[in-house]
Amino acid sequence: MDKKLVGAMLVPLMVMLVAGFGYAAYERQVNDYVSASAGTFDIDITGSPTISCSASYMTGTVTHPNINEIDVTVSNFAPGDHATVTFNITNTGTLPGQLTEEIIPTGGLKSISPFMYSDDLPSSINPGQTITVTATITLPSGTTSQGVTRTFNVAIHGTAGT
Amino acid sequence: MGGNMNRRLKLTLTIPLLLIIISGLAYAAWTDTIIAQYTLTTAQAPAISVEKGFINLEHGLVTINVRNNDSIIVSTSPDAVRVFVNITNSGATPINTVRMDDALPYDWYWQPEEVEVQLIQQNEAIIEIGQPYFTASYDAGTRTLTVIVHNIKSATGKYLEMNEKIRIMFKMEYALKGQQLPAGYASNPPTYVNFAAATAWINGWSSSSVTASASFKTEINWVG
Repeated sequence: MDKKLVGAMLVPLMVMLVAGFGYAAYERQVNDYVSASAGTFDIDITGSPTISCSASYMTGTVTHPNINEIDVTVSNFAPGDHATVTFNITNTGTLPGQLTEEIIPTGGLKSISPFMYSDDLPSSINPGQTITVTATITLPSGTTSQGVTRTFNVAIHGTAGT
Repeated sequence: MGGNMNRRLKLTLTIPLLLIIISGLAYAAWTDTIIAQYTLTTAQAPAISVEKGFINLEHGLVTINVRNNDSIIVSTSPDAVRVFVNITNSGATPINTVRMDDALPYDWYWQPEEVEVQLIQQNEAIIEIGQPYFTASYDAGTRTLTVIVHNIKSATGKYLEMNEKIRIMFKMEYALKGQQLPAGYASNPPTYVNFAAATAWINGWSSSSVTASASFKTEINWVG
């Protein structure tokens, strides 16, 4: 009887342990629905993102498919051209948080070359605060890469705490 | 005794289980990530086509008027040949700078200050480009006229888009006016060939150099 009871409790305990560690490792997962008594931390993209291009022959679009994502497409970069994307991030939780970011090339590439990316992401955000982030993508003068496409993600991570 | 053991065991297992659940939920509530996905494409190098011809020649013919008694060339008809060079944007990439090098035929020279530059849109609407938005220079040694439109956007308010053209027009005059008709010209009036080469740029990227040529014949007209 005792062995059955121990077994019955150990199995879910192990499952929870594994699930807990797995969840912690899967940091990109977003959870908007869970709250804890200690408070919540939740950052969302709010408002309407905008894009502007430095030359009239360039085409740029930005969409906002969900509260945690924007999709930016810009074509016809020539050397020296740049595009500027502006979007808002709001902390809808109850805790302040630290912000960090990483650029993740996709499409099997290890860099975003020949493009350059920069933004003015602040290092922290308070509860209820909305910050405006301006991101600039540049094709430097002297670039010789013609007709190439690069895809990448900029992941902005928020962690509760000061 | 067995009941106490069970309760103790339950408690021992339940407390860490609850701690794990709570900490897992708290972690989920304390981190968040947003993603900006970028898809960026560079343009192609500019592409152009070039054509040239003569505006004021009927049947591609110049008449050389030669005085009967001393074989001196007194004039030509028309007095000057008006040349055009069309540089067309044949690619999708807009163009902001064009350069044309026109090698005039031998026996001909550029009539200074006679250069016109136009941007011709797809609907044939014309935007005139004046100086200082273009420069014209002439090398008498090679008989080469070079015209550069440095910044089409500044000159016209727009780039040279696909299928639009820059038209450059100039005049050339016969260099042998006042001289004796060269030997052989009377029996075999020369055919003159005029070459042009053009290149286009957008920022630092250039098209390949594209050439075009046109020719005209001459006839001798003896005058009293």
